[in-house]
Amino acid sequence: MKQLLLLSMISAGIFSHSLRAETPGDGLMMSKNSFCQVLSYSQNSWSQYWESDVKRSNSNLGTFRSHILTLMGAYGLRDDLNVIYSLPYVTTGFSDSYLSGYQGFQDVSLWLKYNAYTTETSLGTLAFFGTVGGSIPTHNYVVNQLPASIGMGTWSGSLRAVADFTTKDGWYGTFQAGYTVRGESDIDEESYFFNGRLYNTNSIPIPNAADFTLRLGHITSDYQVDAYFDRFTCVSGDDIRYNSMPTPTVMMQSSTIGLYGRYNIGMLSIMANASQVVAGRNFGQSTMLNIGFGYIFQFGGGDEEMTHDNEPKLR
Amino acid sequence: MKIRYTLSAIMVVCLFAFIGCEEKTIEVVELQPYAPAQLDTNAGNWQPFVVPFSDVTVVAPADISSNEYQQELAAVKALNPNEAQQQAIKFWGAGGVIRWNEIARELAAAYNIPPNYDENGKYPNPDPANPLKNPRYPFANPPYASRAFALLTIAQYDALVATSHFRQLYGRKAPYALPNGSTARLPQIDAPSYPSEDAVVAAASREILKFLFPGEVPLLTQKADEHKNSRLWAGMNVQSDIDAGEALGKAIADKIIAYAKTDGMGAANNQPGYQNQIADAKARGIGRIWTSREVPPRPPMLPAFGNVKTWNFTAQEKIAMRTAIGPPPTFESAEFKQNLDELIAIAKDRSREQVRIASYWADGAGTYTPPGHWNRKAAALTYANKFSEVRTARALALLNSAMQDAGICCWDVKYYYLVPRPSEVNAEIKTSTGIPNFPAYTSGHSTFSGAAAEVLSYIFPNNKSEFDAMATEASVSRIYGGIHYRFDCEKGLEHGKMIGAHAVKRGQADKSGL
Repeated sequence: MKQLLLLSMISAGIFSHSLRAETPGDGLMMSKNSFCQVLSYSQNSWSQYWESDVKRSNSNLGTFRSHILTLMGAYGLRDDLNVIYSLPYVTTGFSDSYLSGYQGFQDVSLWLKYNAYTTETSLGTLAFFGTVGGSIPTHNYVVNQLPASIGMGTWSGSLRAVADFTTKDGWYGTFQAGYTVRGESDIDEESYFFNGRLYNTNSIPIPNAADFTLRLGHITSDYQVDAYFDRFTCVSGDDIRYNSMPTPTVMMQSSTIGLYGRYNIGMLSIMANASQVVAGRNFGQSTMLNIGFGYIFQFGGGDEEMTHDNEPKLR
Repeated sequence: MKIRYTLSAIMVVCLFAFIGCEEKTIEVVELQPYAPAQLDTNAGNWQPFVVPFSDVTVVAPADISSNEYQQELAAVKALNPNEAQQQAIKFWGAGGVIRWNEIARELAAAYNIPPNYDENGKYPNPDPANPLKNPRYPFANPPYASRAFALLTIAQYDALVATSHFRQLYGRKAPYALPNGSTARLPQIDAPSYPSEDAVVAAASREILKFLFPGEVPLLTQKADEHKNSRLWAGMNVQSDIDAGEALGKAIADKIIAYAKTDGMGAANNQPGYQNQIADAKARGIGRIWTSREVPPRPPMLPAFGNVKTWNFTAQEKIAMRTAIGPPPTFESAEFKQNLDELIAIAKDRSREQVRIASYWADGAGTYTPPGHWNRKAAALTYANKFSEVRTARALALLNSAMQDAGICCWDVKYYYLVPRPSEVNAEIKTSTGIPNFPAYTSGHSTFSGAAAEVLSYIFPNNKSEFDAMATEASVSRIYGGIHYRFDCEKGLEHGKMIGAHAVKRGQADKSGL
């Protein structure tokens, strides 16, 4: 279920909620025919942000907050092949602005996760995973009012690779790196300014993005804890203009540190997560708090007895 | 094991496919060169706005049989444009007037950024001596942009009227119309070529935009040079056509700039004078005075823009129209309460379509402003209707004179009544677009749009219902956004139509017969 928690970390990023919605980048799998359903709640807030690389506050916005309620789940198609979904409901708003916030279902995501290679050594287990998936907006929500917009309003496709090493006594390190391709978004306006030029169209190309995460922690049958560092960067885009609101074209970048914990009570898991953006560009200096609950269901015909997924059952 | 390899292979393929997608392209509509539907060779007789051709001189050209001309012709014939030059031929061949209009819209969008407050809570003024330092000069807000578009298109129009006069006077044939002449790489036009229309438009546009956007001299110089050279590369003009056009365009622009320096814009941001406007309003019995919604409070936008000289009527007529529009309903009236309640209801449950309409017409900070929006519409229609350069310039000059007049008259009303924004009266009114930093009554968008629709309906009568629908939507978009009372919008639209009618009257009397 470690991957599911990662999924719930939607919107550690600020100017785009979709960015964090898709990091099934960990070292665990659901076994065949078992299904884990998670409901999680996150709150992000920031009062300082980077306008290009200049850190500032804005007395006409105050503190920005987003609340995200996410439904997600993972199902074991096979022991080495999982399908994962997520659907967040996002609410945004400012503390000190007349500008309205927005709310609504954001993008629905679906991924396939595949355990490509596993080997046992005398020290522990080394495993490699690959994930491929994508997302589409659930409806025609407002895009060009960042940071209040609930998403980027376009499809995405992502590919990531995960390497996980877990020692026999449960210490683990996970590295994941991903690349996300994003499409175009139709905005309500019929022109926009990008990179010093005016474009007379309502179609905005949303920059592609790359990210990686390093996690170090410990896992037992009762609990899991880790600390992580995450780096996210768009691979193209422009900067927020002087004293202006961000547009969907901006090159967002962030470095985030976080702590994660999970505790199991039977088939139920309780998860909590806290993170802080420590550096960025065209990004809010966001603090994120998250709590989630997961429950495992077993559908008949599994390859093995249902096992609690917190046992590092790497193949 | 087989499936394992297959899946792994698919992932590797996907990875390369993804990384190959990194380049993002933006599709924009390409315009094609055209021959005008009417040549308008009589345009030398049309009435200019500011500068009659009698105020400028163009030296007589060398005869086409002269050695001097023959050398110029040979030079043009020897040109073999490369790919970039061919693109420039096509780009400018779609119409110099509308291309410079696009450039002006882009500059308006680039410079329409309000200054941020500094560490002392003050809003620094942009510095014309240091235009590229933030906050950049100018802050091309809607009043500033309305004047910029008016000055640009009026200079283009006056310059093209003079061009038409001198072309008929001298009657020099185009180089492609001569036996053994140049090869035309654009549609041929059966009209004299001295001075070059394109050089006139390039020089006039460059000079006006340099005056308005002093930080953009290198860009504007490069664009004008490319525009002029494209005519040589295209085989459409010889060098002396271009040189005469450059001199004529610059001479007319200089006179327009001299006019602009005395139009009152220099005093439009009179913040000390704003205190007198408040005192004057209070003396007239106005109790509740607008205050800025920004933190720290931002000084109001151009409080004396209402005193800038109008194009199509006198200051007395401006005041007469203000009187005709009348005061807003009192805060205690049933109409006011009803209009406020409408906004409270919208703010509680704004529909997606209301947000879309509010955003579509917002044309706020960082955009080309409402006048830019209407210029884009007008330019698309002059192009679609294959207008000649002078006819295009006339249409845009009439439109923009009306829109600047609309801005002036609307600002006059705004600072006469000083009505607070809805959110100031009731803080529950959250908006879906930024609250402009000036009084509510009447709506600038409505006034600009009413005037624009009126003028465009005169020029393109077949599209009248479309323009009226656009203006109405632009007007109500401000209600949907939560930043204007319905009475602001209705009165603004009505006011705009009156203002536009004055521009139409000018057009009907300008001897164009259009």
